[in-house]
Order: sequence, then structure tokens, then C-alpha cells
Amino acid sequence: MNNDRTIRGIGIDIERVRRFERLIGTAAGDALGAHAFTAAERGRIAADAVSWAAVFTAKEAAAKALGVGVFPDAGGIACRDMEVTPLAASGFAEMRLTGAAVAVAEAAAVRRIAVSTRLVRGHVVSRAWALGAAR
Amino acid sequence: MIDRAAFLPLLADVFDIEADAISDEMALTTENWDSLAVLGVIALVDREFERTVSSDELKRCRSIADVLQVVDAAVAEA
Repeated sequence: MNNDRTIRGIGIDIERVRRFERLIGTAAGDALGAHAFTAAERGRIAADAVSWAAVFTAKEAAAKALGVGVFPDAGGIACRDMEVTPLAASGFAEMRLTGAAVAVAEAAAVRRIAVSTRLVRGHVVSRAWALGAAR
Repeated sequence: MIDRAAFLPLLADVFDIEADAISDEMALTTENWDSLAVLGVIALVDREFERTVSSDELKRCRSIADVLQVVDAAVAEA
């Protein structure tokens, strides 16, 4: 029996790639990268602005799908408590949750989060589906 | 008080504007003051001053002067 077929939340986020092109290699970009991305993500996305935008928007979308934001001091989930897996053959990636994010997902009866990202005219758009069992 | 002359160019990267175009009077709008920018400021302050600024306080800011005031207050809380 598949317990992950019910959509319990949907989130979407969009960012201009240009903003990440500007940030990468600056003090602000270094700080944001360390703050928002896990070590595994930083190793994978390197200095590619589209990849930065994809991972960042995927996290924002995933948090929205759980009904929260990305500011832990305001009840949200820390970006580093979410890790985007490499894209699967299905065209979707998964958002792996750690730390406080796990409790947020459990409270929302969410078992997994699937994410999909597209590049559209200089913007990256990510969508996230929080999936769980039917109540 | 933070060194504004040194900090403003760092903020300019967050807002994707030229360093000489940023000023205290610059208004923050829904165009430039989104969660990416707020997270960018939080991360920058953490890195530069090893201080934590409140996301809610930042979200209430309506100008660069407001942001600097929040950062100044966080840095003063030593």
C-alpha cells in the first residue's frame, strides 16, 4: 500500500537567476550559501547560478507546501534542515528533511516532499508537493 | 555602530544594485524586499558581526535606513 499518494500541501516559488549571478562570489553570496545550503548541496551546485536558484526556490516551495516559511525564528524551517536530492529519472527530486523540519512534516502528516524545477526566461520556478497518507 | 561605508556595498549585492546606488533613503518594496533578500541580510550579519537579527524585524523594514537600524541594534547587543 502506498502511503504517499495524498497531496497534503503544494508550494511554489520563483526567483530571477540574475540575483544569484550577482551574489555568487561576493561576501553576501558566501554568507547566504553557508546559511541556506547543506554541504552536499554546496558541493553539487558549485558556482552555478541556475543551480543556486533551483535549490533555493525548491526549499522555499517545500516550506510553503508544509504551510510554513524559511525563517525558524518565525515558526518556519531552517533552509539547512532541508536538502534537495539529485534529480531522479522521474524528473522530480526529493526534499530530505532533518532537524526541526522533521517534526513540522510529522505534524502535517507529510511523509515525503517531491520537487520539480524549471528554468523559464531567466527565472527559476520550483514547485513542491507535500505527500502523505489519507487521514 | 556598524561601519556603514563598508556594509552598504555588501548590502548592494543582496539587492542586486550598484554599490554607489544604495543609500539610507532607498525604499524597500515587494520587488526587492523578499525572503531571499531577508535571508541574505540575516546571513550577512551572522557572517560579518556574528549576530542574529530577527526575520520579523527585518520584514517590517521599509528602507535601507530601517535595515541599518535593525543591524545596529543587533550589533550593539554585545
